[in-house]
Amino acid sequence: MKQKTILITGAGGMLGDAMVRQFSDAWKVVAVDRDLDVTRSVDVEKYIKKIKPHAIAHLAAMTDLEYCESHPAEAYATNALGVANVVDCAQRLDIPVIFISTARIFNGKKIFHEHDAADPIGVYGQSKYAGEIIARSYSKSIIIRAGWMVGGGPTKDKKFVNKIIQRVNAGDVELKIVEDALGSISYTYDVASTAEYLLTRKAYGIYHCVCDGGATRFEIAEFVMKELGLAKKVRIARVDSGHWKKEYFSPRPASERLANTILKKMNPSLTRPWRKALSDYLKRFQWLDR
Amino acid sequence: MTFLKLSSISFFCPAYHDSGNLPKLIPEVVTFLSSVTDVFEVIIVEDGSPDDTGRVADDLARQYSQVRVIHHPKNLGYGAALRSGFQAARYDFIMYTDGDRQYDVNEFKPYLSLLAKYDVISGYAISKNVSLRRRLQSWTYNVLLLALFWVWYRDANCSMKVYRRHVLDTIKIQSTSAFIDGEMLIKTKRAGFHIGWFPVHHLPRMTGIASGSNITVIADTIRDMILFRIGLL
Repeated sequence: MKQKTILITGAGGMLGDAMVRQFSDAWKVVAVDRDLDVTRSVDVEKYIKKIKPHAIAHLAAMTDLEYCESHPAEAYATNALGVANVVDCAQRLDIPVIFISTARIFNGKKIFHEHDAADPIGVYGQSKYAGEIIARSYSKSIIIRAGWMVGGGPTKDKKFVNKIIQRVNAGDVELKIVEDALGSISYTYDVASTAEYLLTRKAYGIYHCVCDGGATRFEIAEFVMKELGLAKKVRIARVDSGHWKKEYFSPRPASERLANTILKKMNPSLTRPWRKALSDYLKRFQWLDR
Repeated sequence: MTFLKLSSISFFCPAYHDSGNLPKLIPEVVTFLSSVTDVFEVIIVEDGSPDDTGRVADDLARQYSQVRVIHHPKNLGYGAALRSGFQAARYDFIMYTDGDRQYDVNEFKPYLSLLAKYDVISGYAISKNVSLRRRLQSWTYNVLLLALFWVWYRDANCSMKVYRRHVLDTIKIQSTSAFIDGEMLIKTKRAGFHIGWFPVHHLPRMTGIASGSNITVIADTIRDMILFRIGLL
């Protein structure tokens, strides 16, 4: 019988999917998504007291950059006040909390290590950093900063990898991909296993949970097409980020590269090169329409 | 969804040689405060400025019903101006920044949620748009706080702070110099309250005169630090 219960908020998202799978083996998982409004402190407290979890993975967040930029009050409420509500209650009940933060708390001017100074640009990054400061106030918090999320498969992946594959499924034979956006990939299944590793060891603190090496969007697209055997069928055209400025108007750091220094030192097997992770991801699912 | 609105805010800013800054700052502050609370007041602490800062402040008070002005009959300095602001503030959250527009009040907005967990929130400048001398002065200030009081603040005298009313009701402010920021942070911590820090951008001064490098300002600050250390302040 599973002895311990973990409450996962925002479980319906890409990372939530991986976290639920990861923790289901050894934990009793209570997964909530939009049915719990984290901005309402009374509801949060009532729910946590009802579930009595031994740990909370707080993933609920507003992650659409453009939506955040045009709805700042909602972004601050969910991504900062929501964290305060969860952390405050968890602290009073002595429950450890895993909080997911982002590379977008940095200004993108270099490769950032865990203890570098934050300087978020844009509403999303600021709201997440406010959440992070709140999470840091609690000594039993594990703060995991992630880069470009990869995971979830064709039905749940709302990010870049699935977007480009779906365009190919829709019949596109040319993809316009930015070559001046640099970042680190976070593979959701690796993030989830790392989260469990840290939680079971009570290794509270801040971690950069990203694959080894940086990549441009162009390099990722090229790799995905090659792995799927589409390199000859689909042409990838290089464009700069100005090309998509109208659609993606939220300010973004030029680079979202993180160095996973602390995790690597702790246990090198927790990280792997981004190509290996991405290759694993592409093999996991049936991507192409027949 | 519940949006964050603070119950009530008293905002104040010390103003000295800021006649060119106040007409831009105050409308920005009023707009900002209207978006984060339903009840607020704006207090301009005019610190005996020899130019027409006082007149400009009075004009703004006539223009905006939420604005009022405290005039110092003569220049009493930064610490005294802050003390006047804290004394005049009536509401639950007391927010201040300088009157010189080197900080953007809108940068408070993402971090107001911190007040759900912290009793005081303070900005720290990511980098300061000041001369090397001022930068050194700021660094020395923080190092002196470390040496004398064994506390390390990255940017203790960053003037982007919010205090909860109950903190001000608990601590007694005694400095009249620029040590006031350090004194208040130390007393806040000693009283068991929590301080949350958030990054802000320090903008270049567009108009007005900076007085922080004045030798008497520095001497008064160090004097207050030492007096406080030996228990005479």
